[in-house]
Order: sequence, then C-alpha cells, then structure tokens
Amino acid sequence: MILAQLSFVPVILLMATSLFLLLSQDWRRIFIAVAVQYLGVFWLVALVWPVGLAAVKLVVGWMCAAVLGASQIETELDEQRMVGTSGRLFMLLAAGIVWLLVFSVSSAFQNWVPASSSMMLGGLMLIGMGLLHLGMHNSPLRVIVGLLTLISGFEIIYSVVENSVLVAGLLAVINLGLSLMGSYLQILSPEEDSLE
Amino acid sequence: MSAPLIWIFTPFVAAVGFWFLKKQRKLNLILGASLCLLLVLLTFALQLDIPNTIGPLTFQISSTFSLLGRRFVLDASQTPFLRLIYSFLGVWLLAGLISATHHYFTTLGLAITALLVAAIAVQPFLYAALLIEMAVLISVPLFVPPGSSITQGVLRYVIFQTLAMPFILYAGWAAAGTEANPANERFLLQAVLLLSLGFSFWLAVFPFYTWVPKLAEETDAYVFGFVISSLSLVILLLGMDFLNTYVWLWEFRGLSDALRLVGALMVATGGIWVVFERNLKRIFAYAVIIENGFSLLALGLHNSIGLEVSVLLFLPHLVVNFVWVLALSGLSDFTELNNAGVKGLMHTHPFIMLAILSGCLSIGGLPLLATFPVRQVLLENMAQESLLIIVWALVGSFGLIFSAFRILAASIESVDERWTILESWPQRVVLSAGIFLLFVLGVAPQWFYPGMLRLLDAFERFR
Repeated sequence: MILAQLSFVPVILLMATSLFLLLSQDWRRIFIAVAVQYLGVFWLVALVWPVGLAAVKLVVGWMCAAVLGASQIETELDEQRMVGTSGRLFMLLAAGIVWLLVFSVSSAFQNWVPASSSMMLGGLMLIGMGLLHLGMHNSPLRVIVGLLTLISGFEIIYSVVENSVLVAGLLAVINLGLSLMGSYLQILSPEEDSLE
Repeated sequence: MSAPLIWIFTPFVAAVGFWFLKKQRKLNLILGASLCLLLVLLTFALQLDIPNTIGPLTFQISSTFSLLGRRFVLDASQTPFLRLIYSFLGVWLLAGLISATHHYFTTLGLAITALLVAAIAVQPFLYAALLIEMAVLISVPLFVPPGSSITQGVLRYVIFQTLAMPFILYAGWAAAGTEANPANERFLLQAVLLLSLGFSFWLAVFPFYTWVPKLAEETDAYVFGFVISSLSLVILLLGMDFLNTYVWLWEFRGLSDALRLVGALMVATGGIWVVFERNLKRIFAYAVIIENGFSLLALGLHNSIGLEVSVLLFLPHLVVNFVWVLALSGLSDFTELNNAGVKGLMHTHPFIMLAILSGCLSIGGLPLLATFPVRQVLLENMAQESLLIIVWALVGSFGLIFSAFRILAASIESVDERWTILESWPQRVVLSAGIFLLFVLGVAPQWFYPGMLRLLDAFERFR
C-alpha cells in the first residue's frame, strides 16, 4: 500500500540513476547506480507482483552489478566518445529530450498497456535512456549497461501483463547471461590463449 | 521419458560434458557429430506417444515435457525439423575437423542447437523469444573466443538480437488479447506492429541488417555461417508457426504486401551493396541477407505455393552456406579474404575457389545450381502478383552473379600458368561433395522435395 502511495519516488530514482549511468566515467559509481536502479525496478514491479516474486528482479539486478563489477580492472573507463564538458552537455541535452518524449507519450501508451502512470513512466524512461546509452557508447561495458537498462524498462511494463514464474525466471537468466557476457568481454585479452 | 528430454536436454547436458574435453578438439568434434547422428537415427527409430517395443522391452515416449506450468512439445510432426537441424549440426561438426574450428565449437554448437530446438518446442511459443536470446548470448564466446579481441560487429549483433525479445514478448500478449477479442482493432494492430518489429530485428530485415556484414567481416567465417544459418532457419520456422497459429495474422490485410516489399528490399539492396564489396566474408553476409529476403518473398505470396517454396529453400540455403563458409575458412588460413587475396588461387586452390563460386552463383539463382528450381517457381508465381518485385529480385540476383564473376576473374589471373593443387585431400573430398550436392539440388530437386515438404506437417493449417 505504502509502495503504491509513493510510486512517484522510484520514477524519480530511475530518472536520476539512468542519467547518472549515462554521464558517469567512474565504473564503481556506475555499478552502484545500476544496483540503485534495480531498487526502483523492484519497487515498481512490486506494485503488481507479490513482493517475493518482485524481489527476484532486485536480487538478479544486484547480482548483475556484482558480476560486471568483479571483472573491471581499471578505475576509470577508457572512453573516446562523448568525453569532456561538451560531450556531457550533449548527453544531458539528449537525456532531456528523451524525458520530454517519455512524459509526452506515456499517457498514449497507457491506451495500449493497462499500466499505472508511474509504471509506464518508469518503464519508458528506462527504455528511452537504455536506447540513448546504446546509441552514444560503444564499449562492451556501456553496451551491456545500456541493454540491462532497456530490459529493466521492458520488464516493468511487461510485469503488468505477465506474472508467470517461468517468465520471471527466464528473464532473470537473460539478465544474468547479459552481465556474464559483458564480464567475459571485459576480461578478454590476447594473453589468455596461452592459458588454454 | 519424453521427446524433449531426448532432443533438447540430452544434447544440452552433453554440451556441458564436452566442455571438459575441450582440449581434445578432434575427439570432441567426432563425439559431437556422433551424438547428432544418434539423435537423427532416434527420430527414425522411436515412435512418439505410442508404445515402442525393442526385444522384451516395451516403453512409451511422451511428446510433452512440462516445466513450471509451461510445456515443451516435440510430436511426430516435428521429426523432419529435428532430422534437419541435427543433421546440419552433425555435418558442421564433422567438417570442423578440416576447418580449424575453435575448441569450444562442439560445446557451444550443441548448446545453441538444443536451445533453438527448445524454442520451437515451447508452448506458448512466445517463450521462444527468451530461449533464442539465450542461444544468442551463448553464441558470443563462439564469435570472440578467449584470446581474440572484442569487435563492434559482435556488440551490434547482441544489441539487435536482444531488441527483438521485448517486441516478441509484448506481441505474444497482444496476440492473446486479439484471440480473446477478435473485434478489437487496437490489439490487432498492436500485435502485428510488435511482431513485425520483433521479426525484423531477428531476421536482420532491411534496414536493420548493418550488423550482418560487420559481424561476418570481424569473426570466423565458419562460426558466422553456422550461427546465422541456424538462427535464420529457426526464426523463419517460428514466423511460420505464428502465421499458422493466428488466423487473423495470416488474413491481415497488408501483411503479404509488407512481406513482399521487405523481401524485395532485402534482395535488391543486398545485391546492390554486394557489387561494391570486395571482402569475401562480407559478400557471403550479403548473400545471407538475400537468402532471407527470398524466404520473405516466398511467404509474401500468401498461398500454399509460397509456404512450400519457403520450406523448400531451407535445404539449398543450408548447403550453400556450409560449402561457402567451409571454403572461406580454408582460404583464411593463408591469404586475405578479398579480391586481391584470391588472385591466381584458381591455379593452386581450385576446390576452394570453385566452392566459393558455386555458392555465390547458387544464391544468385544460376540454372543447374541449388536454388534455381525453387527460385523459378517463386518468381513465376510472384510475376502474377507484381512485376516490379520481380525486377528488384533480379537486380539482387544479378548483383551476386556479377560478384561471382569478379571473384572468378581475380582467381584465374596468374603469371604462373602451371597448376599446383595445394589443398589437402580431406578438403578436396568434402568441398567436391558439397559442390556436387549443390549441382544435384539444382538438377534433381525432386529427390529432396518430399522430405523437405514434411516440415509443413508441424503447421496444422498449412498441411
């Protein structure tokens, strides 16, 4: 009940974390933001699913963040694209446009999927920011974070129409699979072949 | 005992077992191919849902396996598909002995195939989206094995294939809504739109196919050929399953026009880009796009002939892809895979060059080669619907034929007129057999048609 009354809180949380994910250059903060983002996802999913089942999203999200974090060696992300003040300003502007778009179309999407306004806003926000992430970055870590964000958004809206345990389990496997793949791509190095 | 346990869980468990043998690459490949042969033989030996008797032993194999309220069903109508996919994998594994595949190939190849079979078997079939996504994720270490560097093509492949999953899952929900309330136009439009987008990402439909040439260029040709052929086969069959299950989708006004338009665009743009392409791997990638384009054109005929043509195209496409990438794989060991790299190679590596040329010309639709008889039926029927589509389809075909002649010109250009064949005997034998099969598929397709048409048994409305 209290979760439903404060359903605007996770939307704000998701806006903040997805923006932070887009702008941050420090991988530790990125993984903390991913973990916090899954808290928002859990909150919104718990509005329509039993808390026990919704908690799967939270646990899996945190596991994904941990798996990705465990494979990171460098402190700073080695990125050539969208760096510096101008790059960040551009991403901020792009994020603003995505937010504007999401706020404009969310009520129209509610005619398609019977989700509450906070769930629709949160879901579309993550889908939009995930797509933006994928469009602006091309490093494996960023791509995986973008995909996880996008799928989280989809899972929020999909939870309204599907509450099967098998689907929840398979989506959890896919989230973990994506983060394991990201982790694998992170640790790939030419020297490893000699170990085989 | 149930059929999904035999044809899904057994290869999956075996794949895990083969992981421990990964250092013995040849043994791994031989054992993997033997398992595939066994699985194919079992499709002939076992009767599903009726008692089987072997000596004093009587037992029954159920076609259904239930898991958390969902069902995996592999009944008698699915056996042609099982034979096709496991024969395909077996041949691919066996030929891996001569193509220097990575030592993870058997393990991951079996796991991917088991997941793709599960995608065909799962009911409700919208869950297939999740299983295909798992297969895609498992294929990543095949594309970038330990020791290799990450490529943009692989990342794009993962992105585009992952984007398909949400659309298909939502489409499944909207489709259920349409079934429950056929008069609701909103659900109908939603389902069609979401399905179209999902399949567009899956099948790398125009304009979402940019990752295909990039992935082909950056990764091992043999792995690329295997993954893209398996995925295309299963996704096209899933598409047919959707059309079979949902009457409203099959009867949706504009579906056939959309399929024809998209198919023609894929064939035409693929054929145009291939003319400007000099990288042999990218040429193969465009050929795959053209193949999928022709399959969509066949479905766009929107009648029984179209459905028959689309399943009859599976075998030529699989054989062409196999022969072509096996040749490319042999070539990549000692030269650059572009027109300059193949200069004069007809004098030293004629089997490899002939395999590449016959593959290219087959997809180009040259008479006497694999796809020609089916392609002719397709174009004859399509001509009654739209001549413009035929023109675009021919543009695509001519693009590939032009490309084949350019490769031929480069390969026969040599200062040294002597012929010294440097290919190994196994290479000569396998490639010759492949080229011969392409020729047989072209001149005596009637030997293969009845078996391939049995793939339609799985679709009640299309039988």
